[in-house]
Amino acid sequence: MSSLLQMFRMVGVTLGSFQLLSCSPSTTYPCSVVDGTLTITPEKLHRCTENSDVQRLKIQGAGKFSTFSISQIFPFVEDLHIEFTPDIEALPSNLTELEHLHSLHIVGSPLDTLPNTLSTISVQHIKISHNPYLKEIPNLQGSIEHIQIEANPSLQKLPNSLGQSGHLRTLKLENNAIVALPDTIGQYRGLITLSLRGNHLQEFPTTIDQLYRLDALDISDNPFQRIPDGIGHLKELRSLTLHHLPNIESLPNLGALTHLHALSVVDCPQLKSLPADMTQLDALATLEIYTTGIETIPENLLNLPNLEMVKIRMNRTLTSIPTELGTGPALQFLMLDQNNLTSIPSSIGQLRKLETLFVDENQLRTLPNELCTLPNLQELSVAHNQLNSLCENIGALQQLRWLNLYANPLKTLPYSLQKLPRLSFINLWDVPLTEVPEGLIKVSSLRRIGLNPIGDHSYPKVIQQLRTAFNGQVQFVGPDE
Amino acid sequence: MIAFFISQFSCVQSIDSDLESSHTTVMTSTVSIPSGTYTIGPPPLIKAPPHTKARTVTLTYNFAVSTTEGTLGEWLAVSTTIPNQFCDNAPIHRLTLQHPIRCVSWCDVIQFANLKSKHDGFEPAYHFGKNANTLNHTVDCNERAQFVSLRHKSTGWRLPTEAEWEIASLNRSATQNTTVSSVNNQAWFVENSNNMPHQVATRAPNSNGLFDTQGNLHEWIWERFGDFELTDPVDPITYDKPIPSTYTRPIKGGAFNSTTSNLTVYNRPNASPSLRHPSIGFRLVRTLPSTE
Repeated sequence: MSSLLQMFRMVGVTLGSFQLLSCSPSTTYPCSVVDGTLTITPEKLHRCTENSDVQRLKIQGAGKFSTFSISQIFPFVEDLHIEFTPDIEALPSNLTELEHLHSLHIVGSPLDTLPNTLSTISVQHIKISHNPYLKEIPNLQGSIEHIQIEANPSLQKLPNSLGQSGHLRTLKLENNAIVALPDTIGQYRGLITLSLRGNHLQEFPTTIDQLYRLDALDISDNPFQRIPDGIGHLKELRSLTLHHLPNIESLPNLGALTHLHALSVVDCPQLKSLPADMTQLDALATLEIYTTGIETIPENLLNLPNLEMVKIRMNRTLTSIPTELGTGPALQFLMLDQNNLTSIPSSIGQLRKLETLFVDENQLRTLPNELCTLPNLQELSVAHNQLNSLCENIGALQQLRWLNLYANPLKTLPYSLQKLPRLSFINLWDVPLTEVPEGLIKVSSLRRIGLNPIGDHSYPKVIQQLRTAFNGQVQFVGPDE
Repeated sequence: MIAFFISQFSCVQSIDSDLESSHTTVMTSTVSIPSGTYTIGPPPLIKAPPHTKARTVTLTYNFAVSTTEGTLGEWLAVSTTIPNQFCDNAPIHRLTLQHPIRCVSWCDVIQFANLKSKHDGFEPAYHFGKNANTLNHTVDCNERAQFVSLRHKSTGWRLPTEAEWEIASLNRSATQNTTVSSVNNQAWFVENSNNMPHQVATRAPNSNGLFDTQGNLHEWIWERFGDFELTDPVDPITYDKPIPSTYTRPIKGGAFNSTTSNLTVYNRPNASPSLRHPSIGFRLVRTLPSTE
């Protein structure tokens, strides 16, 4: 290491403009405090004298703790971060004497256990993350509100106690190796946020349905065999995230989740259907269904009164969407790309607030004329379909500014394009136009066109004419720009 | 000889003579690369691998490139949220502030770059467009990535273009026959890494003063993957011919688990921008104002 540093310095000397900028007063280094924060290595702590100004103490880097009383030297520390300290053999022994401590971070330590003294520590927030060898955490008995135990790859089990039951609000347990949750989790009835993402959990504790105040639940990236019905009873739930659950074949009834605002179901390839009672989720605003095995969507699911954003994408077994659309008054953003849809229902014309519609990579041969009556549509993407024609009345889309027709067998475009006052981008890459679309030539608002090179098109003359017609007015871009 | 020089340190703690033990220091040391015309790609007499091409590139601006891959220390100085460093069942090892940060998607990095620009007082280089929040979404990142625009001439931190990366990483010895003995001194790779990344700047720098341009971690590149068509591009920030319907980005330089043949500067593996992988990290650059 030292030879490398020497070389590093030599590089600077050799190249002649090596500069080291000192960013803090040198007189009190290494104990200088900036805005109430002291950042220091473990081995240098002993150099500091009593300092009541330190509110945030960040102990980072190399070296071991020397015999040292943090509470005597820094009696008013509120935030204590012990971060990426690869050489420490233990935590400072007297953390419980820090009377003002409300936040404790133990991040990137080499410890395999944490001391029992943590049991009695009372902080609002404790974060234990990126400790590669940590296998055990003592029972936490204090009045802790927020617990983050994350990215500890050797941690397979939690302590039975996670603080006094009335206080815990947030429990984030992401990316550990936890194989089971303690049954005692049900006693934390004040819990508002629970994330179990990225563990080795196969089963839920039966007490999960006692967390009746839960607002956000993320159970992603676990080998759960099934999702318990109890989740459907968490009536305060506003956000439910179910990603990368390879074994899940069904969802429980969710209709009782009347406050659910966001539901995200991603990469659940064994999931064949959605529960029919999802149509009772009147508060739902955001719905994501990606890469599942679903074949249908419950009738009226897309008509929920508060639904603003729907992304039903990459479900290759999905061949249709409900025919009755349009009573959902709030829908603004609808992504239906990379499914296997063969048609878009004409009722789509009733989605009067719709601003964005993506139906790329389906099996569409036509678009309903009603689609071209949407008064607020700004972005329309139909790339990689089998469209032979667009609706003739496309000029009625008065707000349209972004139109992606990439890779459709269109030979011509409707003349009514000329009526689009805001169209600034059109993608004609791999669109085999046999003639220059006259309507398009008259669109003065265009700024970018996706267009093949002249030599890379069946009708190079058309490309040449388009390039000539728009020369200086627009930028010609690639297919996915 | 082209003049490369170490131009800048930004730091949050003082650096004094005990640099070696002062791990609280968070600095981004950079080397300045001057504008000019450079020859990059596979050298003569070597059969060009797929998607590679010897070419000359002209840059009309100077830019600064970090001498190291982005580190945990740099990340921690800007954000309290650290990506899971043991993603994808990566073997565990001790972590230090000097370890290169990994398991970061392309989307993670461009967001970090903007955060770091703000932190360091530079104009952010990226504009995320609408629905920027979905960049964190594993699936959406792939497609939202194309809506991220680069203010190329802003002075904020950003990912290098592939041309910038190759110019900065060009190591004359490395473009010749790459053998175990020729890279052992400079690179953490499959023969010496024990299958884990190592602290940055613990092998020798290349001829331009950059560490770990070969090995340790693959490094994300700005552009969407594509082929080279033009022979003499000026300030290229996109490829001449993006490959349609792919969103992948090149990852350059090889990693701790790479064999020697994958360490060459002109190699062009690529990855989905949403990928968080134990062997992928990054190195930041920034365009220098004409006065620097």
